[in-house]
Amino acid sequence: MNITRLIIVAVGGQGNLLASKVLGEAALISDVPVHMSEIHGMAQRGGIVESSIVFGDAESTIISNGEADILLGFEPSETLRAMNRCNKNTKVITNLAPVPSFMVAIGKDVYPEIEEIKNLIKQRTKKFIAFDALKLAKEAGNPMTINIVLLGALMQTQTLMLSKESVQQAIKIRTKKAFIDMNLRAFDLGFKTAEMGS
Amino acid sequence: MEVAAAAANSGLRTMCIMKHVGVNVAADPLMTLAYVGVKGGLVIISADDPFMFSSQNEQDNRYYGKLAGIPILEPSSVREAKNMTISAFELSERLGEPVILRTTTRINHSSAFVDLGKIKNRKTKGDFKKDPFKYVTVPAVSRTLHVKLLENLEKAEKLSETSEHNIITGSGSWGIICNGVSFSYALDAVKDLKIQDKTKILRIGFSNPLPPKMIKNFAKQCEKILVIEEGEPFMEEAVKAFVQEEKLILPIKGKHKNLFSRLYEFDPGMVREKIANYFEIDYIPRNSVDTEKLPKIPQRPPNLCSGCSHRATFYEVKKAAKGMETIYPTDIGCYTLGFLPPLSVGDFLICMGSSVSTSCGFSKATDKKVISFIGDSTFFHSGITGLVNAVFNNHNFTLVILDNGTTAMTGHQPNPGVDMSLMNFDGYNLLE
Ligand SMILES: Cc1ncc(C[n+]2csc(CCOP(=O)(O)OP(=O)(O)O)c2C)c(N)n1
Ligand code: SF4
Repeated sequence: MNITRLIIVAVGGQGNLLASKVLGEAALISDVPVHMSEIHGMAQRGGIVESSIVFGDAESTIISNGEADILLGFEPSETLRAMNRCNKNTKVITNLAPVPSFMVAIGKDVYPEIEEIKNLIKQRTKKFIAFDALKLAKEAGNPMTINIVLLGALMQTQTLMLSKESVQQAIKIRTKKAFIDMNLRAFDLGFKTAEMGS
Repeated sequence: MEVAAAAANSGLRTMCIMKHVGVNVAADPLMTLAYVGVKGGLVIISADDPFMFSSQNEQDNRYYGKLAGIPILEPSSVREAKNMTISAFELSERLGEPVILRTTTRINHSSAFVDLGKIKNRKTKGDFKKDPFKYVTVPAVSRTLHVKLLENLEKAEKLSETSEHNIITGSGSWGIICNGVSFSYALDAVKDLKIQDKTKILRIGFSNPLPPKMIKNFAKQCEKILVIEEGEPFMEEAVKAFVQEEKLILPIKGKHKNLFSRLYEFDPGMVREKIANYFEIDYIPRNSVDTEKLPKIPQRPPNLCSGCSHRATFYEVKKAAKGMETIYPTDIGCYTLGFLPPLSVGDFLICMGSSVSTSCGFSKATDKKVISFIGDSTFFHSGITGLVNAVFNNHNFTLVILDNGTTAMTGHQPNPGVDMSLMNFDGYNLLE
């Protein structure tokens, strides 16, 4: 069996850990071995949350620099920061709606232009999908569904050894009952947007 | 640890869980509990944190096993952590000693599928049979207890020799000795480098006492050995000593400027590269894309939440202290973040409770105004004893107790200052 290494980067509160759990559940449904690890030090206080998910025949639960097959970024500047995890064949999917840190708010740091971020990533990778996932999440009914929108886009690329259906099934099992329909809508919106190549 | 010691000596299976630095606080009871031993199984889980993702140091708690003279088990995966926990209880009961299950962040923050067995009925009431000449550790008693501890350690060594947790995989004359997560990285690396038929891996899961015979036999079949372990050269030094006893001559390396560091954590790519270097295999590392020409990406340091009560307190204290020459000892919790500019309140911190006792020292040793900060949970944990001494000794400092009624930093665990009725829990008292 092949090995696929996925890194998800987000800032605290964007629902990265739930997204990872959904993928884990889908792997269980599909009988695919999976190892997941996450670091969320101080996530509540606006820090970075990173998950590594290794599908297939590997033992390690973390992913070294340059060794991600897919990078899924929930925040554009965080996607850019995680470029050291990518090699030239890595597929990159990112949300384009920024979440500036307080360092930007107090004028200590400057947030790069979104167009610049897009270009910098595009120059460095084989396949790049970028879109405003927050807008789609709102369209689905709640900005909190941004994580599921991004999962939809991820599944469209067909890079994981999981079927679209298994992830939809996992959403039904892993997300709160009252949000299932909204989440499935969010998933579709993400999937379709990635299909259009955006 | 004392609560667990009493429960285990009343015949109950008991587990005591803490992060690596927690074992420092619990070390005093642990050292002598090893003398006394246990009746019901007692498993201590130590969560070590190589790289210090959320800790003040990255000490290697395997040495606590050596220091106390008790067994250590170390899982390499989530699945194994579950299985070893069962095995640790059995081992503890067999030897009548507490057993440490030593994990690291990458085990604790990982998920994987596990198979659940049948859950046994829990025994939650035991009985304590008095036997003061066994349980009251005056010197005359402890002198005999230490003899017993050493005998137990010998028994433990025999068990380590045949333990299912010390495993050898692969074949060939290149030897790798590893533990914990390094085993996963080594397995993946050996496969990636296609050296399965040249390399033998000894994975140590029962790491105190180590199995001398097993290690000597392993070494006899190797032309060179690489020891892969995060943290300190715990196994490496022991392996070298065993090999010397056998009068074998072969290169053994681990911690070395061109190989592994005592610093931080390892990762699969790094372990692959070091294995390739050491055994002189051609290897092209997978290169990251060029990130040199990227613009500066805004930092995202953790920050106090907007509206956090700590911030307002810091602000007022700074205002009140305006014009004074101050030292601000701080403590461990969300409020530690106050050390960052622009607040900049936080000048010294070593462990939970240190705000209070270091204030005693600074107020004695300097002429500056000492103002220190401590959270409610940390105050009850280990600030209160320092304060009692400070009052007795008339130390001159101002202590600000940041009572937000919870243990915020680590996820809102109850502490003795919390009103549990607010969370609909019965059976607790309110400290007033
Ligand atoms: C010996 C030890 N045990 C546990 C911890 C983990 N720890 C970090 S902060 C904290 C408690 C913080 O609570 P509190 O003092 O109430 O401050 P708050 O976060 O609520 O502001 C704990 C237990 C530690 N650092 N050291
Ligand atoms: S105590 Fe911690 S979690 Fe609570 S508001 Fe302050 S920074 Fe946030």
